[in-house]
Amino acid sequence: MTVSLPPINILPHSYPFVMLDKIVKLEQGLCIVCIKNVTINEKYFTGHFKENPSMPEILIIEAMAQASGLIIGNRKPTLAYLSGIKDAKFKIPVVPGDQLVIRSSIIQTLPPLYVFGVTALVKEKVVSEAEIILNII
Amino acid sequence: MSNTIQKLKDLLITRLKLKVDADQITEDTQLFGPEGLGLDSIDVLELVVAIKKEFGVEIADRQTAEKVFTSVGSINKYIKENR
Repeated sequence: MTVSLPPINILPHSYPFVMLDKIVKLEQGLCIVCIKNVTINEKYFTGHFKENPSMPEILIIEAMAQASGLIIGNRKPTLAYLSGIKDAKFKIPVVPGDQLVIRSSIIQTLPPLYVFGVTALVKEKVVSEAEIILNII
Repeated sequence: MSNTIQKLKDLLITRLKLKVDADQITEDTQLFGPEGLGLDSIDVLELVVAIKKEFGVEIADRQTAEKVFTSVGSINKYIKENR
């Protein structure tokens, strides 16, 4: 079932740890698509790396985890703790100016634990993929 | 030993990266606790995913999971009954 899209501030995270800009598709309890516009203003680009800025891969994982949590917790305040990362791959560096599209769908539920299959794309190319396990309470 | 039991042992060892030999695991081996294989709840979730993939058997709620995941034999029994 497609529901009206909640604003991104439904996330329990706040600055500087919101890794998503917008929800563009959400099927309650099934899947989500979110975007993150990666800009040179991000603080981490000053150090990663000064001459060749690229988004730290661990923050791509964080973006995947935040998007995945929203599949379950988009109606009421919900905390999702990252419990596992499996088979993570980072194929292409994400750089300032990229629009990161995060697609996540549920593989398995066993509340409070949930497994998600997640891909991150830039210009329709997969830049990263992983299985994310969240403990959602 | 049934083919399912052998496959379950392989799943346990490969998916959960257990540092035991297959012949150290029997049907009666407990999955949890220091006397058993010492699995945790995330291991169980991974097993649920692996069992669905390998045997096409779904375990969708925690109450069922708590009953099924006590020993290798109890998983085997559940798979046989629900295949």
